[in-house]
Amino acid sequence: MHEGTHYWHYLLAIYLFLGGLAGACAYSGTFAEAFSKGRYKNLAKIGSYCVLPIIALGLLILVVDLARPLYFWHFIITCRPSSVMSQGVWILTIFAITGGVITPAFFLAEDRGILPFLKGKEGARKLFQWIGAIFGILTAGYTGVLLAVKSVPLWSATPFLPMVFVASATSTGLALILLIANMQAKKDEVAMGALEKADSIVIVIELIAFAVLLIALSGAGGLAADAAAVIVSGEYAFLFWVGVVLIGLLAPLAIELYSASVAKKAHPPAGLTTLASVLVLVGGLLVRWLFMYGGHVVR
Amino acid sequence: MAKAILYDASKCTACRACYVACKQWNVLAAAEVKKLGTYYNALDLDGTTWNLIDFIEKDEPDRFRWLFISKRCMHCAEPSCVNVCAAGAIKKDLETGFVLVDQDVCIGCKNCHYACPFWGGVPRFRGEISEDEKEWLAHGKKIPGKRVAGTVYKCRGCIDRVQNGLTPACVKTCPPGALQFGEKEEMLAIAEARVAALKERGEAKAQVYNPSGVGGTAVTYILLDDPETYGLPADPRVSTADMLTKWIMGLIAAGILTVVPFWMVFKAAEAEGKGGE
Ligand code: SF4
Ligand code: SF4
Ligand code: SF4
Repeated sequence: MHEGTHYWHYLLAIYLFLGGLAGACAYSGTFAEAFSKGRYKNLAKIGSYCVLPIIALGLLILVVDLARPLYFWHFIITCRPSSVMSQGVWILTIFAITGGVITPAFFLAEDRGILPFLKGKEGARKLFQWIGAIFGILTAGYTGVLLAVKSVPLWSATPFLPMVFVASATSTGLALILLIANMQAKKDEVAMGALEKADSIVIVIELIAFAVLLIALSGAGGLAADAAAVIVSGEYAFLFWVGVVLIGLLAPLAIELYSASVAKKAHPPAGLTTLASVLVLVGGLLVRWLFMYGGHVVR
Repeated sequence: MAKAILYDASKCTACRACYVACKQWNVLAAAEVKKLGTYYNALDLDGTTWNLIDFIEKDEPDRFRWLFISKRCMHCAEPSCVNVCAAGAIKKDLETGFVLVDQDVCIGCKNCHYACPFWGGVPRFRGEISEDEKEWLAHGKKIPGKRVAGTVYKCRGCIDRVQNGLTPACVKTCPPGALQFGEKEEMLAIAEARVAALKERGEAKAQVYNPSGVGGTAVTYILLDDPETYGLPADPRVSTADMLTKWIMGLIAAGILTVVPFWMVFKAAEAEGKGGE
């Protein structure tokens, strides 16, 4: 037993959640637009507007959580490729500039007519949007890899934690775009249906990723198996089964499948869509919470 | 040349003189302890406790064993703490091989604590500097290293003593000679010889602990039992060793998601929903 070493708390869990969310908002929207050959451009726009506020909030939380926040510049002047924290600083910087500032600026130029010189420069927008999307993926990945290169069995005994984090991030990104699309005056039901459908598949993939992680941990024996037991049947089993699996994954999955089944006849009620997206977002936060706190039990 | 501190668990009497010597030399406040009915003084490493003796009670079929171990920074040859520190606050002293935190550079993020494979994370955080230390410093007296609130602390290998031709304080004080200090090779040779002698005496599990997964450790142990019995990982790894694999796993997930839901779902719109708006 090691006492008094629970240094990382909910603030860091929230930071990891927000990092993944911001990343996913950028790449989910970009993929939606690109693969539909522009049909879902609106989704990319919604996603890109979300990026900067979320990153700003996340960074604020990260810096506040540091013991010596005024020395944060030590992170910025240091480039240490072996440190995922250091990689993250650089990934986040590029992501914030391309995905958080430049891409939304193009959209704003189109929407509001500010920065007129950017208006209509579709090629340039797409270029920055793609860079933002790629660094968005890296941002989501970094939030998982950061924990995975520690000496904490639940996080690092297997290489699968980043898979869970990326899947969860993607689901939350889709959910946030869906939530906002659902609040718009002129709703695009087709786009929302596609988002829900995509999210339901992501949730299934996330469930698989969870299973892979837990089976691998249990199979590794020793401390890794103990760490898996903490969330499967131990101290954090309730948070895992009820919070993450039931509320965060299965409930929104059920709603999304239901919506898809009735969509052809009648429009699924807007309230239901809102509920599903909120559940996914809450679930995503609980995933980070679960690993942050659950990881501390077996060291 | 790389140095080593050799701790011989078969010679240690758990007198804890090393613990006191470390506190004294480094001007570290005594730990507040509760009386638990055990021999523990400090229960765990912390910002002012850089070494301590852990007591292990082991029931064996034919006997009861009381084992001791000196918990402290292992001064890994390939230190995980150095690898993860994004501020570059931890450095390995090339002369001695000791791993040192620079309190002025550390910003207290605790990444190093979570990365360290030993003793539940060796670097420990201190939010405050004690009045004693402030007074000491105010009187112009020297304290080995620096004191900055909001940074992590751990054993410094008494680098200041070593650089002046002395042995570390804990080694110097150890009454039964369970702690020794010298060139790494020399210490390893002593350890091997001692383990051979212990085996001859019937200590079948006697072994040298100098794990290769972290490139070996400047703090080398002679153990009487398996590492796990002492709370040591049998095969510690540099925490960042498989960073690439972990990155790839994250990117594979992203790749799958790109193709399966995104490409499948959003592509459908292109066909059916053209001009849908
Ligand atoms: S034992 Fe831990 S703190 Fe000490 S050098 Fe190794 S990784 Fe760093
Ligand atoms: S707590 Fe200090 S020494 Fe440790 S990783 Fe963070 S900045 Fe580096
Ligand atoms: S080497 Fe020095 S700093 Fe390290 S435990 Fe011994 S006395 Fe303390």
